Amino acid sequence: MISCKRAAALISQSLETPLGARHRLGLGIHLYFCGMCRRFRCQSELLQQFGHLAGQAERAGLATAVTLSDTARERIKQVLWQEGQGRGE
Amino acid sequence: MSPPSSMPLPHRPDPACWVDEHGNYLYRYALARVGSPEAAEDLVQETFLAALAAVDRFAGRATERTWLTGILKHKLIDRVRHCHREAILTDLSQADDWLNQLYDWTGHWKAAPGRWGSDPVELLQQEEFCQAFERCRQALPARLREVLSLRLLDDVPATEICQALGISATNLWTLLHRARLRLWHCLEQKGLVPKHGKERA
Repeated sequence: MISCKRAAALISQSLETPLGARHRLGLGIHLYFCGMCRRFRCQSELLQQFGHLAGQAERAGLATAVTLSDTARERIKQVLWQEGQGRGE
Repeated sequence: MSPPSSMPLPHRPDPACWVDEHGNYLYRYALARVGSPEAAEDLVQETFLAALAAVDRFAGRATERTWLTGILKHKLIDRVRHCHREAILTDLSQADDWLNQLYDWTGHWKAAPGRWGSDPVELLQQEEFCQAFERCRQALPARLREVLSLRLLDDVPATEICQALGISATNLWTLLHRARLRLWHCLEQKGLVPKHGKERA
């Protein structure tokens, strides 16, 4: 039977891509007997889902108080304007 | 600015308004990834410049903000390539000794994973967990943190990351596993969730 160390790597891989038949079988047998790895798998999946949600929440604008400084804003506008001129717009 | 075209486009991008309309959003996004205000400002500027150069190719299928965010993500990938590619290749060329401390000589867990909640939405509402997640993410070695963030938080397709870094899919899985295991272990150590039993006596 594969080790927990190997099982953890396969669990991680399964978050990225469907496992091939051999790996799926090896992992399935291991998980059948190993409660610790079953728990690790749940936690890995949980972290994966949490990460996706956290990324979305972040994009939805948590900490909206953070803004570009006025200096940076003006500088970027200036650069964009010059670049736009250069492009003949 | 060019005169309006005869065929009205629903989402004709207007570079003159970009900084006011999307500057803060892109800045916050970049800052969450790179940590330093200066680096984040530079990324925002580079994003707008790249967008300006590609403005004719904006198809209007996505919103302007989604389109600009996509460009920012490419800038983030570029940055990981420039700053961390060498460390990533070195990492891949050797075994991960850190990982071995979690297992005994037969490859089985030294300590059983603790008991966690099971609802990601619930976790997201627990400020303590969110903060711990962020601290643990920041504590990752930079090369692993950047790759994991691109894949997990920014949802950049694996193929794009592999292509940018010049690594195989298997290489990427290895890196992600190393990062995930560290992140998981760090959260376990924080003891936010009651351990079950007393395996660690």
